[in-house]
Amino acid sequence: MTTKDRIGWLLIGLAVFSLVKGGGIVPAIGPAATAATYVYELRESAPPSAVYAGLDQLNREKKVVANLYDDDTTDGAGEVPDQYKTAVTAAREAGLPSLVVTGGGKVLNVVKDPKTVEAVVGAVQ
Amino acid sequence: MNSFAPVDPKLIDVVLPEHDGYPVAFEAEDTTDAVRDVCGAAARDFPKSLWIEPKDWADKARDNDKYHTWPMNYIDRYTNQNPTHECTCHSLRANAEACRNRQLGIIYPGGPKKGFRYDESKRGSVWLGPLSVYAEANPRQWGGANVRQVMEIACRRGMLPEKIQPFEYGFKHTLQGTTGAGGLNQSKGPWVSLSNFPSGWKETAAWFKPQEVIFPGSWEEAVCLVLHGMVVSVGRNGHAVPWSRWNAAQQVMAYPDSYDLTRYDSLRTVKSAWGGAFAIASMTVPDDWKHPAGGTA
Repeated sequence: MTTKDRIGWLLIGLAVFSLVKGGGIVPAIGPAATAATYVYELRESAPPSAVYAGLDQLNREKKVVANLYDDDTTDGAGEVPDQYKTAVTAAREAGLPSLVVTGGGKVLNVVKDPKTVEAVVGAVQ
Repeated sequence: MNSFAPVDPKLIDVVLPEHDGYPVAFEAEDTTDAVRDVCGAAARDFPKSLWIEPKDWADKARDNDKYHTWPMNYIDRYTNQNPTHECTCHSLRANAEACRNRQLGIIYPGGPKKGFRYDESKRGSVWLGPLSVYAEANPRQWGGANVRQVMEIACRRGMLPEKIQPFEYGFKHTLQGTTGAGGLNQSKGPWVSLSNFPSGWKETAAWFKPQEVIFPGSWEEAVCLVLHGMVVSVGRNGHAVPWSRWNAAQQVMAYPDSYDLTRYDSLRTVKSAWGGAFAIASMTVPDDWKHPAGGTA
């Protein structure tokens, strides 16, 4: 079997493997989602009940840490809590309210003004 | 949780034999303006964004039933103050705890249950001690405290976590929750004066402070706050309570009373009691919910 043949069979094998697994050949690169933060300003809009339910579902399924953050809320030292700094910056840029999915300190997804459980849970997938 | 279910009339407009911390004289002092003043920078007018037309209250109630998003669904425990005069502080702790749990994103579908502890509470629910505020509001122990006093204290320096918690958070400073009966989810202990609080206690209390407090300008705005998942604390008939679920069918307001059970105020009481009421819209937030007092406090 020549080198060319070997490469050919390898590519066929990878293609079959990919089809069986139902995904891409190249594994995803980048951090996994670890948090979903709904950032809002209560004076402008109230989070829909479905948003609370979606965040609760994410927490129960332990997929990510899912919280709400009312803009300008601070920690006991008067600062924006470390866990929300990245999400708050991204949400303010996108416009409030926004659901920001983060992982490894990076913003992975921003969904503006989600209104349903599916929109909240789906933002992480 | 079916907010439309009929309520036992024996649980509506229950007036205790004597005041348990909120005598009539205090009611007169606790005007909206007076309580607002003591909250300082935390005070907020009722935002227009929270207004719901009364004709739409039933629909919002159905939404809350479907998604378990009543304030009652963010309260994971009862407390029991019997026979103390700590009622305003027990009402305050329900308001503050519900706010934190709402921010945390954990729902307790059945609300508080006597003698029961939710597993989910371990994920960051912190039980805040009424005594940690009452001891400063009334150093004489008996006679109660008005809403103005307790809110000034809470907004200025926060509340201490109780000795009993749903998770070992490693708090450096805790205090018994009440000198009353307490229970499975509430620590009890002897009276302690402010000067005998654990040394350095303010470092921990600072992590449990109201940051935004909304003052409804009408009974309808108070109902709207409840419909949006926020506890509304009120004082009336010698007792202070945390309104936590509106029954749109019977038009009564449910509250987890500081005696291990849920009671209700009628529409007539709601209409007369809303003055001086408040809802905590946001509390200090930790950098890590597993270390609610900042990891060092």
